[in-house]
Amino acid sequence: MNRAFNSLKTFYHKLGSSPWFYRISEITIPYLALFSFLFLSIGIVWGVFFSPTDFKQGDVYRIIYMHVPAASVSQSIYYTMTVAAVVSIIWRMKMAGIFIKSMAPIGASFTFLALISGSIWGQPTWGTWWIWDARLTSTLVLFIFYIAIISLYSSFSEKKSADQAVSILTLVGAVNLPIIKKSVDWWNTLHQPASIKFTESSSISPEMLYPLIISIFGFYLVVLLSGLMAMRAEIAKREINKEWFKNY
Amino acid sequence: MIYDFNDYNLHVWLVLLITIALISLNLIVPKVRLNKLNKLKKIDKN
Repeated sequence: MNRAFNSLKTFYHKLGSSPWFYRISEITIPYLALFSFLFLSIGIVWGVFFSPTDFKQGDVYRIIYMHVPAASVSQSIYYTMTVAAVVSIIWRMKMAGIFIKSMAPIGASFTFLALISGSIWGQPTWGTWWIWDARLTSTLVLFIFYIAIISLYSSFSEKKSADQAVSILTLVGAVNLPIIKKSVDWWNTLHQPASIKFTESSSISPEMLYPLIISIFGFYLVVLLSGLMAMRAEIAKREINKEWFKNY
Repeated sequence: MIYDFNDYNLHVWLVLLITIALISLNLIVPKVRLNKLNKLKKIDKN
């Protein structure tokens, strides 16, 4: 138990070292690229081309294989950014700031995808592109927070102050996360409640569920991959004059 | 399967296209940024 805790502590300290992270991520990226491509293509191709047609919605329900994974990662990215913001504020770890700076555009793009795919799906099924429903509005607020974080970061010339300001803003935005999650239970919404549940059986047929799970996993891998790549670029930008980077 | 382009399928194809574009963008932008910085580093070295 003690050994496991010590190795976790060592790993945490190593995470704070940009040269270590830069080297390890370079080794990890090719494998991640391979697996994310595999899972994404299997999940999406299976879902979009081979899963059965829905008896009510017809083929348009296939948007689920992009919409649900995008919505899921858009919230998860913000959760991880919140943890990084706490680390950045308490321990002033440089890598936490780099993480928030690198993940915000990725989070924004997936939130945008969740919103736009939901809108395209809503038009034929709900009869409207947009409605000020609690789930849609709270997701739009999430998107606005991502954009605010990106804008706030670029308004600072000094990286350390930018990291601190952005961390505080990230923490403020975290209030919205439980609202997104619970919006379909707290309010009477047009958006349906969750179809996949961890504690009870899912309301979606297995032939449709399996490709969806694979697609969600593929999206998480692709987020990890693009996150590592963005963080490497940010480390290179910040440490271009450091001796270790010049000799790398 | 959705090989034909009826009204509803077009919605799926559109979302698929946007998904591919956004994922590609997330992968290409940091790659280009890093390549530029590595070029700068090489110029600096020489």
